[in-house]
Amino acid sequence: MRAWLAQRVEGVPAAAVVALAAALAVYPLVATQPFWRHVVIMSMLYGAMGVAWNILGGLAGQVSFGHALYFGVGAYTAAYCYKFLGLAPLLSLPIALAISAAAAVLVGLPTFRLRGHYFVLASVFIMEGIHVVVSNWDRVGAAIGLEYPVYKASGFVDALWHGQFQTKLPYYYIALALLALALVAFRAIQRSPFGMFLVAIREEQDAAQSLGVNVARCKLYALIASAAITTLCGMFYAQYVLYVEPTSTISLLISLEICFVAILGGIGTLWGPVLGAAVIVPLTELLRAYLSGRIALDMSGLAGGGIGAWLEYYARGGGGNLDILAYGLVIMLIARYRPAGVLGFFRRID
Amino acid sequence: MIYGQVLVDGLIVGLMFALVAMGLSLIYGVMNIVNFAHGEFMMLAMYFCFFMWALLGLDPLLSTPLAAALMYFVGVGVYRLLIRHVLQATMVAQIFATFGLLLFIQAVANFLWKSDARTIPVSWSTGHFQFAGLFFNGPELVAAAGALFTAGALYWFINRTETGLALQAVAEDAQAARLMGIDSDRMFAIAWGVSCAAVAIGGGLLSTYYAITPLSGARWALPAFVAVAIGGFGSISGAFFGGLIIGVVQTAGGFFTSPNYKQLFVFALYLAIVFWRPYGLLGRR
Repeated sequence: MRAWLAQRVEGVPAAAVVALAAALAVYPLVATQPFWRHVVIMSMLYGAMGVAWNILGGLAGQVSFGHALYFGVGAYTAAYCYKFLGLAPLLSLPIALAISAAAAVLVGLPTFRLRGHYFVLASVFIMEGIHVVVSNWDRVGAAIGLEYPVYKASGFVDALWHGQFQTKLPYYYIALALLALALVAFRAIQRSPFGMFLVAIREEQDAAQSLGVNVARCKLYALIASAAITTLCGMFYAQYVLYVEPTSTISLLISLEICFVAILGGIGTLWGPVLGAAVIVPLTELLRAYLSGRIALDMSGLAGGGIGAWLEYYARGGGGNLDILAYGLVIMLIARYRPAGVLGFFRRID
Repeated sequence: MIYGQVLVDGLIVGLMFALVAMGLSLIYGVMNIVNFAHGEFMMLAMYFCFFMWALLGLDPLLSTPLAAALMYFVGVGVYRLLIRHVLQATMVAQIFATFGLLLFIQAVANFLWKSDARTIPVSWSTGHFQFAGLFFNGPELVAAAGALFTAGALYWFINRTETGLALQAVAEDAQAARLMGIDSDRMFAIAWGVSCAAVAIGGGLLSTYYAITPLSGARWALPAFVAVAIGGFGSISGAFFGGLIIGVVQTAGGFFTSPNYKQLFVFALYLAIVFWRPYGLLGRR
């Protein structure tokens, strides 16, 4: 037992991993306030998406800024199937995964030939294009989005089937399971021959190709795996907030948040996204809770009040968006001072 | 005649895209950085012109040169404080530096000026007229002419002045340029200043007819990336023609389907072009 606990999982002792898992399992029993549970739920959700992004971005070195697309596929499929087809999340799951895989193939086939900025921009444009389509598509609620019909469950099994709970506790453990699933999948891929092919592609694509690695197929499989986990997270998100709309699912900001979690903690590492999410998500959730609550104050009547009125207006939060302001500042500071992420595992991606 | 109108409208919009894209391409050509925050400098220039009009009653076309001078120094400042330090970093770190800047500037604008749309109702160029069976909107035509003039000035600066040639030398081979006594750090700063000044002129010209919100700049910058890619990253004249092409494609696409979908055609054009030529229509590598 002792020897087992001293083993290292990607540089972290197994004992520490067990301790982390135990701490996460016990946390919601100690922290009973909904907000503090919510903060860790979102951290685990983004941690899982960061780990998923890392399969493609970290192992294979393909920097995608379009992962919000797969998040949106999960969120919209869950919401649409529940609202219009009456399908429970477990029944819409295979549909969502099928759409996600199809989307991954459609995105991957034309774009994986591209390198550097051309690939990054292609991933952005495809995602933005889908955003435009969804924002104008009345069947899926267009720009307003889809609101879930609230379901009053009788008993836990019924609630589980409908994926709607009265408290945050069940959501918490589902998010924890998603994070565990993402980590297990990443580790399995990383240690398999397939994972080594991906690393070979990242380090030297042409050399890998000349040694017989099927570059196009490996990248595609990595994207399908990465997209599948991101889609699961999207489904969870929809069931959690019971409301989906284009800007909070399929947007550049969400894409950026997913990939920033992985980059902040150290790109291409198993634990990097977990650390990144643990740092940035609570920070943004706290900023959001304390700063963006004061949005869009009334400006009328200020003109006559002179400088003092304006200063008071800004002191009370101005036009809002202070949370995004701080988030942008953090991103710039990290890029400026710690370009290899907080863990500092330097990984060059070209 | 309707096709002629669509073509002319597309070219008028395209000249503005061309100006935005040329600044993007200048920075990419000189230091291999994609500036995601390019449109935000345009938005700042629009707000500058708005407040000069609202507080001092100055016509936006008069404030435009002032906005350009101001944004030159903002661009140099951004280079010195942020960009200079990520030049040796990975592509991902560089993308995050300029993307963080985009979020930051947009949020600052939201905080200071709210997200409500502002407009400058009357400018010197306000009015409509008809010529050769085609309809023209005064402010749009003046903006297009200004964009064309600025694009020409930019082209002249890059190709005919000593500083412009030094910029090209740095773009070609920074190390060799340094051996020839060109201070590449200074050149990079100038490239940022000039790029931001050019896009600020675009913003000033737009402020005479375009709604001013914290997101106004981003709406122009995203399609402009397609123009840059069409022309091949780093090619100034390629970006100019790329801008004209996407202007026509966006206008025609929006006209024949719905204005809501106009951007889709530009994105599809990007995918079609890079699928056919992975380094852009005119690009080499």
